Amino acid sequence: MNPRLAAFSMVEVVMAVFIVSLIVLPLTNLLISSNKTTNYSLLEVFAVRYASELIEQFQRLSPNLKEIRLKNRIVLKNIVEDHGFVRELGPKEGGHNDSPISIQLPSTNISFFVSPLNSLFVERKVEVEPLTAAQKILNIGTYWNVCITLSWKMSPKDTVIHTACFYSIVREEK
Amino acid sequence: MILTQQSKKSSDAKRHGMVLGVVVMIFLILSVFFFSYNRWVRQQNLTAHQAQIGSVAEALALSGANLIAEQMTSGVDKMIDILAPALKNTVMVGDPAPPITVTSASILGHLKSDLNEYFFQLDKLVFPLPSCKNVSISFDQIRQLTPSTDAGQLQVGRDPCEKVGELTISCTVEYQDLIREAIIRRQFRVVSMVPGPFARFSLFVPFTPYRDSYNAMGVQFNGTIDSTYSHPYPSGKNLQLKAPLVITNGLEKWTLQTQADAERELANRGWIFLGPSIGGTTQADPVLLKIPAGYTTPYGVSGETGGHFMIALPPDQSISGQSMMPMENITDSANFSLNPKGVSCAIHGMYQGFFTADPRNPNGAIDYGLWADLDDPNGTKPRSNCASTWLFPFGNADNPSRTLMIGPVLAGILKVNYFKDSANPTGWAVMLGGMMQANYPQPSPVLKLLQSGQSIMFADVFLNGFPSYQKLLPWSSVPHKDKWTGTDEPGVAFNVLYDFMGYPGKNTGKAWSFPDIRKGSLELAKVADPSLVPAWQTMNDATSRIAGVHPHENVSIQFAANSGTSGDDAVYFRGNLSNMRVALPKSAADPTHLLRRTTHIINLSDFQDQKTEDEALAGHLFAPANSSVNPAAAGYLAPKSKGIFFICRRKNMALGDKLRLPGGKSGEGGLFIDQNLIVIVDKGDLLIPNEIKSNIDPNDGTPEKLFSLVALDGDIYLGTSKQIQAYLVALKPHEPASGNKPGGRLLGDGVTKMNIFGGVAVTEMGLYTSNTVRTTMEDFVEGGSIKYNPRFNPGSPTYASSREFILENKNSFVQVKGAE
Repeated sequence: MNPRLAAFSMVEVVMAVFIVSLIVLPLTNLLISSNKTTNYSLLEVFAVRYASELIEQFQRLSPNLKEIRLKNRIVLKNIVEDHGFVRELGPKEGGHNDSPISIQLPSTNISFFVSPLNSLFVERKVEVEPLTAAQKILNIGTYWNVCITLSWKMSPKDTVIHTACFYSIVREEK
Repeated sequence: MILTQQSKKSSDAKRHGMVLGVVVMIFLILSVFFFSYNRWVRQQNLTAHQAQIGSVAEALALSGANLIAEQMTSGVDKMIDILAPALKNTVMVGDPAPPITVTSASILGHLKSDLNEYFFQLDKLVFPLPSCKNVSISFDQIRQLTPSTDAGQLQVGRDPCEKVGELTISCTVEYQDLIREAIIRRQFRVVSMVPGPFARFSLFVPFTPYRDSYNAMGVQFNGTIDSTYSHPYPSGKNLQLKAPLVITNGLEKWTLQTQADAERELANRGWIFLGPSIGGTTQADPVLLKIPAGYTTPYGVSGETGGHFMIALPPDQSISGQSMMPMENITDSANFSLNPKGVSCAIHGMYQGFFTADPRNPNGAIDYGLWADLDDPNGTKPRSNCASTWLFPFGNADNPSRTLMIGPVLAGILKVNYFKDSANPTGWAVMLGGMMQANYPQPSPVLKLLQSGQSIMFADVFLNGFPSYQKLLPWSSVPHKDKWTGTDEPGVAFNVLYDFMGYPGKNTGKAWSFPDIRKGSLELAKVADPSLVPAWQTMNDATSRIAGVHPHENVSIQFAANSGTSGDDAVYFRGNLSNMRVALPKSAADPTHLLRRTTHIINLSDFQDQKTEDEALAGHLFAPANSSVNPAAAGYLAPKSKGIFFICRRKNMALGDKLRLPGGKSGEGGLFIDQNLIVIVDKGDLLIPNEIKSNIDPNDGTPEKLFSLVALDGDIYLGTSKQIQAYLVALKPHEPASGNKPGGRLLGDGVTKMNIFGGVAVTEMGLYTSNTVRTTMEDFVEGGSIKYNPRFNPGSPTYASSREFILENKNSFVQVKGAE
C-alpha cells in the first residue's frame, strides 16, 4: 500500500483542528456560562427558601406583637435590630452546619427556627419599617413592612454580590 | 489500468469528503446538545427567577388575606358588622345554612385599595410594583350552635343567633406579570358574651337556707346600724353585721314621667331571684326581707345609712325626701271623726321598717308591744325578730332602685296610725296603740293633744266604736311561719312595694304611681309584656297567689320585642329558675351548651403547683394593658383576646386551692377589660385579688366591656374591696345530701365588703341557723354594693351588641396558587 494515500495530509489535519476549534471553544464557553447560570439559579432558589421560612414565622408572630410591645416595651423593629438576632441570622464562620438554628427573640420566650445559610451566602438581613396607615378599612393597629434581604456570591472568590429582597406585611394590634 | 487509476482517484476524493462529513456531523450533534443544554439552563434560570418574583407575590397575597383576618379578630374592629351583619343579628337555619358571600363592590374595593396603599410603600421592589387584583370573602358551613328548641335546651338557655362556620378569604396579587392567589380558611363562632340566662338578674340566688336568712342586721330607728346588736344565728357566732349589701338594679339616668318611661326603663333593669327557703313546714317556704327603718342621711349625701320607712312622730316627708311609701291620709268619714271637738286633727297611717333599738326602747320595735306577730308563741320578745334584712334589693335612701323580684319573697313591714295637727305639719302627733276589745274604754280620754291641752274621748274619734278602732290597729306584714302555703296567706309581696313604685322627691321629680299595698300593685297588670314581667297575669291573680309574688317555677326570659325573632327563637330561657345550671355536659344528649359556646380551651392540667398554674393562667389570658389607647389602664393587665375561655385546672389540685386571677401582688395593678371576655373554671375555687375595671360609657355610666367569671364547681373569693366590674357566677347545685360540699358561693378572702358592678349569680348567700356552713353574709359583714350592668341583660333592646364574631387564631387551610 502507498503510505501517502493511507494518511491525512498535515494541511487536512490542521484545517480540521481549526474548524473544530472554531466551534468547540464557543460551545465550551457556553457550557461554562450555563453552569454559572445554573449555580445562580440554585442559589436564588435557596434565597427563596430562606426568605419563605422567615416570612412564615413573621406572619405567625403577628398576633403576639402587641403583648411583646406592652410587656417588654419593644416593637418589632427593636427585635430585628437586636445584635444577637442579627448575628444569629447572618452567615456563620467555621464551616457549614445542617442543623436548624434556633434564635430566641430578644426579651421574649418566642424562638425563630431558620436554616443555616449556604456557604456562598454572605448576608441574611431583616429590616422592618412601619407603614403609613391605609385610608379605608385596614387601618386599626400598626402595619409593618418586613423586608428580608439575602445576598450571595457565585464562588468564594467571586467579587460580585448578588442580592434578592422579599417582603411581607405583618400587623400589630394597637 | 486507466480505469484503475481513475477509480483510485475517485476513491481518495470520497474518503476526504467522508472525514469532513463526520466532522460536520459531530459538530451538529454537539451543537444540538449544547443548545439544548443551554435552553434547559435558561429555562431553569427563568424558573428560579420567577420563583423569586412569585415568592414576593405569594407572600404579599398571603399577607393581604391574613391582614384582613387579623383585623377581624381584633377586639376593637367592627369590620364584620359591615361585611356580614346578618351573622350577628340573624337566625340562620339549615345544616349548613346558606353561605354568605360578600358582594359589596364598595367594601371589597376599599380593602383592595388599602392593600395597594401598603404594597406601594414597599420601596425596594422594582417597577411595576405589586398590586392587589382581587379580594373575596365568604362565610360558609354555617350552623347554629343550639338548633334544638326542646325543653332541655331552653332550660339552659338558647340564643338562636349563635353559630359556627368557616371564613374564606382570598387575595390575588400581581407582581412583574406573575399573579398569585392566596386562599385562607378559619373557623369562626358567633357567641354572645352574656354568660347565661341568670345574667338577666342583678342578683340570682336559687337557694335560701331559711325564711329569715337575710334578716340579721341590727338597725336603729333612724336607720343607722345598731352596733349593740349581735345576731343569734348562726348559733354561737355572735354575728354583727355592720352594713347592708345594696343592690342597684340599673341605670339611674331615667326620668320617669309616664308609664311608657317606666316600661322603657324597666327593660334595662336587672331582676332579682331569691329561691324559696327550705327551713319551714313546706318545701317552698317564702323568703322574708324585713325592711329596715330609717331616715338619717339626706339625699345626695354619700355614706347614707337610712332605710326607707318611717315610724311614729314622723315629719310629712323624710329628711332625705325619699320616703317610698307616702303617708296614708285617712279620709273615711263613716268611721272616723276627722275634726273631733273642733280640733284641727287628721288621722294618718304610716308604714315603717324594722328596728332593733330606738332612743326609748333598747330592744327596738318589739318593746312597743304593738305588733303581736313579732312575739314568740311563749310570750318572749326576741330582739332578733326585729332585725332587718342585710340584703337591700331596692337600693337605698340615696339611690332607690326598682326591680322585679322573682320567687316567693315577702316584704316585712310594720304599720301604725297616728293623729296629728292638720294645720301644723311639724306640730304634735300621737301614735295609736293596739288594744283588745274588752279594754276599749269608750268614755276614756285617748289622747291629750299637747298644744290645745284638750282631751279627746274614743267616742269622739271612732264613730262606730271598736270596729272603727280596729281599722287602725297596728299591724305587721310578716305572716306566721306555720301558715304559709304559698297561696293566699297573709303577707305583702316584695314586688308590691318595689316593682313599679314611683319615687317621690328629688330623685325623679314626679310620682307617677303608688301601689295599693292591700291589693297588690295595680301597675303590674298594666305591663302586659312578658319580656318585662313574664308572669304578670299570675302576679295579679289574687285567688291563686299572694298578689304581686312572681312565681319562679315556669319563667320565660325573652329577648326584647324588637329583636327580630319570633316563636321559640324569641325565648332565651324557659323553665324553673331553681333548676338553672351551669355545668359540663354529663352525656352526649345533655343539652348544656357551655362547651359548644366555648371559643378557647386552656389546659392547665399538667401543672404541678398553684403558683405555676396561676402564672400560666395569667400568661395565657392577660398582658399589660395599652395605656396609650386607654390612659386609665396604665399599670393594669388586659385580656389578650376576646372570647369564651374554658380553663381546665391542674390534676393534682387540693381542696381549697384557689386559682388566682393575675393582679394584686406588689406592684401589680388589677385587670382592665378592653375586650369582652368570659372565663370559666372547670373545678375548684377562683380568687379575684384586685380591682377589675373597664372604660365607662359616658352616655349611660356602665362599663363598656362584658367580663364574666364562672366557677363551675367551686366558690368565688373576693380578695379586694375595690370595684369588680364583672358578672360573677358560682352556681354549683346545693347538695345537702352530700354534706353541702363547698361551692356555689361568693366568699371573702380577707375582705368584708364587696363592690361589684355587673351582677352576681350564686347558689346561696343567706345565713344558716347552725354554724356548719360558711356563707356570704358571714364573710361580708360590711355588706357593700352590687350594681347591675344592663349590658348583660338578654332582654335589653341592645342585647345583639353582646354577640362577638370570634375567629380561630390560626388558618386551618392555606393555599397559594397561580391565577389569571
